[in-house]
Amino acid sequence: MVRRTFSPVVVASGHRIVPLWVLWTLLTVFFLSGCATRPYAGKELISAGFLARAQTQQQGTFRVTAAAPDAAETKALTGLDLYEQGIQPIWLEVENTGSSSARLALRSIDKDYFSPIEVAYMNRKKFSSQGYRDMERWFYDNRLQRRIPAGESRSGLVFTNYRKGTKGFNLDIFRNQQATSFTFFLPIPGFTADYTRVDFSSLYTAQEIRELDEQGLKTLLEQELPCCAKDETGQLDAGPLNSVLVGTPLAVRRSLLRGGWLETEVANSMTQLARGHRFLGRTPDAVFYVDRVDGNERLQLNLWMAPWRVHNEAVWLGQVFYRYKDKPLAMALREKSDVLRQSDLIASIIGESVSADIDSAQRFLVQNFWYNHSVLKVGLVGGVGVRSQENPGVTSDGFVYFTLGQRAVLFLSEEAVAMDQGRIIYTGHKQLLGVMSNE
Amino acid sequence: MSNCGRLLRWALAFGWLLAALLAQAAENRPVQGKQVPPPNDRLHIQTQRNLTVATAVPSEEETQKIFGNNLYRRNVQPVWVQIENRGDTTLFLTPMGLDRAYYTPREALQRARSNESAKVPGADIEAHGIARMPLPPRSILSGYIFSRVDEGTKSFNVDVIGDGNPYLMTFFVPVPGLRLDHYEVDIPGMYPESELQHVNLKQLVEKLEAMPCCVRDEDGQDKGDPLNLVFVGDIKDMYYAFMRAGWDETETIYGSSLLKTAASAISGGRYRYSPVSPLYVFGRSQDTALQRARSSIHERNHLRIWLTPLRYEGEPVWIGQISRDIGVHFTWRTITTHKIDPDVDETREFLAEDMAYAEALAKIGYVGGVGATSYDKPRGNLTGDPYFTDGQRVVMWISGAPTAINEIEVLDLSPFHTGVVGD
Repeated sequence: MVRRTFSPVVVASGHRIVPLWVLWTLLTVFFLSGCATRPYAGKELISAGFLARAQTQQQGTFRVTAAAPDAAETKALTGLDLYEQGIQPIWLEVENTGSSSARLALRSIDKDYFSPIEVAYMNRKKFSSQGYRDMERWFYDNRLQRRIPAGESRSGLVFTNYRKGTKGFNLDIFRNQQATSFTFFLPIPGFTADYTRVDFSSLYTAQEIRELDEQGLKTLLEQELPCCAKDETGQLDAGPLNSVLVGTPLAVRRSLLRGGWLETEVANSMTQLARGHRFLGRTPDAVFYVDRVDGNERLQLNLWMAPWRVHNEAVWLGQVFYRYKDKPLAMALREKSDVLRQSDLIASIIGESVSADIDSAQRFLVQNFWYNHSVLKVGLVGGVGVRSQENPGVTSDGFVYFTLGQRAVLFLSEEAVAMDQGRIIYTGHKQLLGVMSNE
Repeated sequence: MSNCGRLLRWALAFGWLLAALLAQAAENRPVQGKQVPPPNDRLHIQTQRNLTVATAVPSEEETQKIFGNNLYRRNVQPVWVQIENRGDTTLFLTPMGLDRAYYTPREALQRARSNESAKVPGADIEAHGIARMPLPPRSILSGYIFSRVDEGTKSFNVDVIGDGNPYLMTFFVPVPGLRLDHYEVDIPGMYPESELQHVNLKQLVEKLEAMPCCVRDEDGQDKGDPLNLVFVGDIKDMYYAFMRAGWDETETIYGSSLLKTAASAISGGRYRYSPVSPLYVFGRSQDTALQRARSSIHERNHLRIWLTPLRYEGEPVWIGQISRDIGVHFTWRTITTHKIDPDVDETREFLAEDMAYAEALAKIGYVGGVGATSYDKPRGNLTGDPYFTDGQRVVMWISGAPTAINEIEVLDLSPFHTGVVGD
């Protein structure tokens, strides 16, 4: 009895121990092997569908072809959701038909690019150790190499930071005391930048376009151009035209790209107020913005091509000002601005808000272009008219502002400009400098 | 600094201010901005051609007194700048040279407002701030530029542009706190004159290739990361370039900052000055270390350099090591360490490009000395990270005068290569 009752217990306990142990081991092995057997298989680049959208440019002895996969195409190629991680690969092929070797600068594409093995390492946890080795090898083998011997070509991927919109980037290729700069703007399916809807060649007839020299531009900006853009009705002031860019469309696009400005779509809700602004009855040809990384401030730039040319280069009128990423300040002020102009609310906004100080946005624009090697000539001219904090301007869309009344004029270069090549051409209105010295 | 040096600096500062004020009174020049230097004796003055720049950085407590608000707590550090333009042309001061993410006076004000129970009269911060660029002929401008907080030594550039020959000055203004590497080291006194080796280009290549391949541990036993970069140039020009390119100085690990790094490693936050561990060349730890943070502490590049006894055309020659952190992993030796990108040549080439885009690279060339090792047969560094390399060192001649990217001289040093790999 004792044996019969005891024995099953022993057996039972024996049975219980063994299966638990086995179960535990099996489970562990199962779970480990669950990770450990996940292999990696990147696709062959050569067969990637997005290459059908590749663009080619030729300059001197270099021929460069570029293409950018969208999020889904990136996932199909690499097996990883790199867009989700803020990484956007681009594919480049560089052919050097010259008689000496050359090197390309990956940093010219993105100063904070990710290295190929870095991208692999960031995704290591998803794979077995063999899977990781395969993945690292795939990223390494498909990288773009920097050195291109004479008569040869190199192709591969560069891992850039993801920016919404058209994939714009520069590529500089070096030889001894020579540099060749390419700029690509690769459309990404599903995004249509506002300016791509404008036919710039048909905006003005040949008769409408005025040719100016530098002095003529200054006179025009100070004496003819109205202070401000208008609202939809053409009656109300929609904010000062406080910046002027002179340069080819490519120079403007490259300068904005170097400065980290992002493009927008017409339907972008954030820019709807700006699209109510008019110059010659037109909404802005382009709206760009750049965000402060450690704050909620946003710089916005509205641009119109003007019917003027300086030394055969286009003149672009701009409004640059601060907005907030997350709170549309002073939206409530859109109506009845005359009443509100007297109110305490206006006084508190004009006294402290970042966006009311529109001259600081103008200074940002000048320095942003200057430090990103885009400025050939820079100057300040009058023409907007002083608006003091005591008698501020109020725009049709409800923003209050004060200003010394100057316009910043920037002559932009397609090619990068060294700091000691930039010049000041207009030093600002004498009376305005007087105003400043009495601050 | 000795008392004598401090007195001298004071006397110079006071004399210059007095002279400036007297000259201005005599000629009835306009004075713009507000004369509100911070209440400390750390005035730093530099003169170039027609321009004299004085700067000072108030500490956290001093900032509280001046502005009635602890701006430091909101990552805002005011820098007092006074500039005298004695020339005949208008120049522009570009505060972005001081900090490319500087705050406008109103951005500083909004951050001050977010301090609890802050009662800052908005006008105070705005009136003390420099909020414009033009420096008219024969005028003085003074006031505060609001930058992001640097602990310890505040190293920054003051750039004034306009007449085709920009005024670029670098200031190192100590604010109590951080022990920075290059202040620990007496650079001019490191090698006695008798030990200096003045070399021509051929000798430079030979000597560089014969230098150690790699860093060592403290005992000088184990080999670590390859010494894959060389600078030829003045330390001030190098610092100017590093700051333009967004590099920060670092502490060597000495205690308190380890806590900050640990917190940063856990949270993945961005501690700009997280310390680096000492590595050894010529029997001493690095003379200076710098890092360039990207989005988090796991993603930074850091470099260490050592002064060599070589002088080329009078300029000091430095040898160094660079690595790109791509994540954190665990080791028996240091518990946690940063995983480095094994493709160290990739990181090396990035640095050369970073110098080029800071307009600081006058010449570039390559020498051997490291010894090649392939992707499939990597070597290991001191923390067990594998690396592979073509075995070359990049030699970068750093220039104080801005050099555009299409002006960089590419030197073919291969005729001088010796094939020697350093021990």
